[in-house]
Amino acid sequence: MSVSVGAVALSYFFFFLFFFFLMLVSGVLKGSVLVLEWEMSEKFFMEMGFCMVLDWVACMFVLSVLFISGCVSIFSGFYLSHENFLKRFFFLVQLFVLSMILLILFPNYLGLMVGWDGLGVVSFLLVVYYLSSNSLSAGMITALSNRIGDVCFLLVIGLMSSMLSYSMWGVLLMSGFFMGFLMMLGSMTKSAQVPFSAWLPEAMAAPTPVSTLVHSSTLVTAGVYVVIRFSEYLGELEKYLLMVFSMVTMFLAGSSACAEVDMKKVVALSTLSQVGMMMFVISVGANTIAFFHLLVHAFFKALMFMCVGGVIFYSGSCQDARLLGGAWFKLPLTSVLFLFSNLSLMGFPFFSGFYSKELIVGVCLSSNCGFLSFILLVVCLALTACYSIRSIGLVFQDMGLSSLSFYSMENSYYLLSLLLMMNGAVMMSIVMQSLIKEFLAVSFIKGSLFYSLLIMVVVFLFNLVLFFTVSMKTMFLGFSKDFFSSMWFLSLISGNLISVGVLTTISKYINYVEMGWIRTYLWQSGVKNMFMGMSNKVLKINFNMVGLVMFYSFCFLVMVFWW
Amino acid sequence: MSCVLMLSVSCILWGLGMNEVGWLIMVCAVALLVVMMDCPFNFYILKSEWLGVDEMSVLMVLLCLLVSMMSLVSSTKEVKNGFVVLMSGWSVVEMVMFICLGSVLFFSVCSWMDFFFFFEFSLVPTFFLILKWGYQPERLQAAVFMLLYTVGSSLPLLMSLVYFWSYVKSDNMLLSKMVGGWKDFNMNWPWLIMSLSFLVKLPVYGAHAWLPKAHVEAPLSGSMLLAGVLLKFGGYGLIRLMWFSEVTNSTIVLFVLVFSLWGGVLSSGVCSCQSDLKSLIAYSSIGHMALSLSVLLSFYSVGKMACVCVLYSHGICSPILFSLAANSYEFCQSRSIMLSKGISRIFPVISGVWFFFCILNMGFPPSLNFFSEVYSVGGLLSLQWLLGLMGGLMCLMTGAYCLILYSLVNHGVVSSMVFKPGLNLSYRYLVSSVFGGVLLLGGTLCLDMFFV
Repeated sequence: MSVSVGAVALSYFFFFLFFFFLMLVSGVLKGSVLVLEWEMSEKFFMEMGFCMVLDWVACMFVLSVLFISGCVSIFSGFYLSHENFLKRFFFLVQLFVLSMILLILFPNYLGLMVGWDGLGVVSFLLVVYYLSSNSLSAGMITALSNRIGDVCFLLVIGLMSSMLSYSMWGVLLMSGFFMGFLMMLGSMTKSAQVPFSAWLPEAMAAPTPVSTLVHSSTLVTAGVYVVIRFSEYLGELEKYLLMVFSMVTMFLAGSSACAEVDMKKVVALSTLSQVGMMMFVISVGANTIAFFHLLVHAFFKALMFMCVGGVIFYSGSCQDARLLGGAWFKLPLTSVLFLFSNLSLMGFPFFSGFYSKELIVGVCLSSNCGFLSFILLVVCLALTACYSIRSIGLVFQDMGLSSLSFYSMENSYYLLSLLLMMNGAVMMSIVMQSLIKEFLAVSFIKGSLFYSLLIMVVVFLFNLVLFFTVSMKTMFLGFSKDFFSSMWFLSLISGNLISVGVLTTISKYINYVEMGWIRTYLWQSGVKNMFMGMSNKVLKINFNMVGLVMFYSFCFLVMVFWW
Repeated sequence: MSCVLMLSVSCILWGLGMNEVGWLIMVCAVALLVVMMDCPFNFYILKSEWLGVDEMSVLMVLLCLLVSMMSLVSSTKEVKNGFVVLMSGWSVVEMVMFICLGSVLFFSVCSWMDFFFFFEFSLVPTFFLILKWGYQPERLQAAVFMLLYTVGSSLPLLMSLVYFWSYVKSDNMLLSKMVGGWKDFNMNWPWLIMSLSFLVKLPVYGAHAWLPKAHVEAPLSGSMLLAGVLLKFGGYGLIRLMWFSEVTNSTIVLFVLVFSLWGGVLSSGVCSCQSDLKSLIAYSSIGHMALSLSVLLSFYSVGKMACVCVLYSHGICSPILFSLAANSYEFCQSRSIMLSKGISRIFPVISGVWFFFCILNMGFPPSLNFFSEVYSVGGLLSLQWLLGLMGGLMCLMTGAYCLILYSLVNHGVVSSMVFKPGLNLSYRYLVSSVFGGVLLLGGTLCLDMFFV
C-alpha cells in the first residue's frame, strides 16, 4: 500500500513542480498566454475545435489542484489504510483530477464539457464509493443536480452554434440572448447555489479524502471558474440574479451551519457559504478577487477537512459532532491546524483568508451593490464567525464521550499531509500576492478608524444577539431548529419530494398508458382484432366446401379480368 | 490491391496456425470500407445498376458489419457449444449472417423496389431468431407483434412506391429524383402515410409496443442486431424518403416532430421505472431514436448530420449494453434488477465497463454520443426554443436512467437470492466492449466522417 500511495503522491508533486517550473520559465506571470487549438471538424461554418489556453489564471489553478491532490493522496494513505481496494480509489481520484485539469485548461465549451461531465460522473462514483444505500441516495442527488447543469450547458452549446464561436472570446463576435443566463444557471448547479444546494451536504457520505479534494476545492469551484472565464457573457440582469442567489446561499449556509450536528456537514456548509461569497464578488464585477479567494479558500478548506477527517478517524469513524471532542489533548497538531484554518476562514488578521476577505469587503464597499446587500454580507460574515467558533468548541472541548483516548500516536502519513498542507494554507495568500501582481489591493478605501472598527463591532454584536436568542427557551426555537438543520427544508424538497413525486407519477403513467392504452387497447383490442379477425374469417371460409370453391373462383375472376 | 494484400496476409496467418482468420478478414473488410469513405456526403453516386453509394450508406454498411461482428463474438457460446440448438440445419450464426446480408444490401441498393424488398427481407431471419431458440409463450406474442406492426404499416409504403414507379416509369432513386419525383403533388398527408412504415420501425412513441417485447424475448445476437441495425432502417428510410418526396416543413411534419420528441421524453421517464434490464435498454433505444427523428424533421442540414450521428453512435453503444446485460444474465440466470446487482464487488473490470457504457449512453464527451446529442439539441433549439428545452429535458432524463441503470447493476451487495452464481464470466463480452469503446471515443477524432 505504501508503494502505491507514495507513487501516486509523488507523481502529483512531480507534475506540480514541473508545471511550476514551466510557468516561471515561460513568462506567464508577465502576461504571456499560450493558446493551442485543435480543429476537429470543417463541416460547419464556425470554428469547431478544442482550444487550450494557458494563462496565469489556468496555471495558478492547475498548480493548486495538483498540490492539493498530492496532499490528499498522502492523506488517503492514512484514512483509507484499512481499505482493500485502495488502487481502485486512487484510480478514481486520478480520473477526477484529470477531468478538473481538462476543465481548467480548455475554456472552450466543447472541451469544457469533457471536464464538466467528467467531474459530475466521477464525483458520483466517488460518493457511492462505500456501497451503502445512504451513499447511493447521496450519489444520485449529486449526479442529478450536476446533470441539470450539464443540460444547461448543452443548451448553451446549442445557442453558441449559431454564434460562430464556442470559446470565451466569442462574446466579441456575436452574443446571443439567453447564453449568459443559461451559463450562470449551469454553474450554479455545480457550485451548489440555491435552489440546487441540497446535494453538497448529502455528498459528505463520501470518504473524507474525497470530500477534501472534491467538495472543498475542485468540484464546487468548477462552477465559479466557468463563470469567471465566461464572465463577459453576463449582462446586468444575470449579475443581479447571481447576486440575489449567492446572497441567499450565503445566508442559508451560514445559518444552517450553526444548527448542523454532523461535523463534515458543518465544513461542507462553510464551503457553501464561501462559494456563495465568491459568486457574490463576481456579480459585483471583481473577477480577480473572486479567483484569489477561490485559490486561498481551496487551501485552508482542504486543511480543515483533513483535520476534521483526522478527528473523525481517531474517534472511530463517528461523524456526529455531539459525540466528538477532546482533540486538544490527544491530537496537538490537528487541533492547532484546525484552529488556524478556522481563524483563516473567519478572516482573522494576517492569516490566509484575511487578505482575500479584506479585498472582498473593500470591493463591495466601493461598488454599487446596494445598502441591503452590504448589510446581508456583514451578517453572513458574522454567521461565519459564529459557526467557526462553534466548530472549534465542538472539536476541542472534552465531553468525555469519545474514544479518542485509545490511540497513542498520530499516523505518519497523516502528519506528513498536514505539514504539507499547513505551509500551503497559512501562508498562501502572501505567496500568491508576491507572485501575481493582480492580487494586490485593487481598491482604495478611506481608512479611518470608524470603518475599520465597524465590521468587527457589527460581527460581535450580531453574535451576542444570536447567543441570547438561542439561550431562551421558546416554542419558536423548536421550529427554527428544524428549519435550519434541514437547510430551510431544501434538502427535503430536493430529495424526497421531487424524487418520490416523479417516480410515483411515472409508475402510474406506465400502468395506465404503457400497459393500458398502448399495449392493451391499441394491440389487443384494436389491431389484433383487425388482423386476426380477418384471418379467422378467411380460414372459416376455407373450411367449408362451398365457401372454398367460391373464394378461389372469386380470386381467379379478379386476377384474370382486372389485370 | 488492398484486397490482394488482405488475402495474402490472411493466408499467411492461416498457414502459421492462427485459426481465427475469419475475424481478421472481417476487420480488414471493415478497414477497406472506412478507407472508401472519402465519397462525398452530398452526392449520391450510382456504382452499378443495383448499388448506389453516398457517405451515409457507407456509414450504415459499416455499422451493419461492425454490429454483426460484435454480435457473433458475443454469442460464441452458442456457436462453439457442443450442444448446438439447430433449426432444420440452421443455427444462430446463419440467421445473423442473413440479417447482416439483408441489411448491407438494404443500405446499398439504389432502386426503390429493391429497397422495399430488403426492408422486409430482414424481418424474416429476425422473426426466426426471436421465435425459435426458446419455448416461452411470450416469444410467440413478441414475434407476432413485431411482424404485424412492421409489415402492416409498410403496406401503404408499398402501394405508394408501386404507384410512383408507374408514374415516373423508373424506380431508380437517383433518376427519379432528377426527373422530378413527387413535385406535382401536395405531399403533406401522403408523406405521413408513406413514412408510417419507417416511423413504426424506428419506433415513434405511439407505435413502439413491439420493441420492448421483441428485445426482451430475443436472444443476445437478436437483440444486438435489432438495436444496432434494424432500428436504423427506419432512420435511413426517412432520410431517403425526405429526399425524393418533396415534402416541405409544414404542420404535418411539425406534428410528427413534436409527437416524437415528447414521446422520447416519456419513454426516457418510463425507463427509470423498469424492472427488467433488457426492457430498460429497449426503452432507452426509443428515446434516442426519438431525438434523432425530431432533429431530422427540423429540416436543417445539421439536423440530418446529427440524426445520422445519433443512429451510428446508438447503434454501437446499445448492442454493447445488451451484451453486458447478457453477461449479468449468465451470472444470476435472471434479467430482473432485484437479482442482478452488486457486481461491483466481484467483477471490477466488468463493473468499469458497465460504467463506461452507461455514461457513453448518456452522452459523455468527447465521445460520438456527446456530439450527436449536442447537435440534436442545438438543432432543435435553433428551430424553436421550446423544442430545445424539451430536448434538454430528455437529456436530463437520459442521464437519470443511465445512472439508475449503472447503480442498479453495480451498487450494493450481491443479492442473497442468487443461489448458484456463475462465477466464470468469459472475456468475449469485454473484447466487443473494448472494440465498441474505441470506435465511439475515436470517432471524435474523425468527426467529419460521421457528420454526414
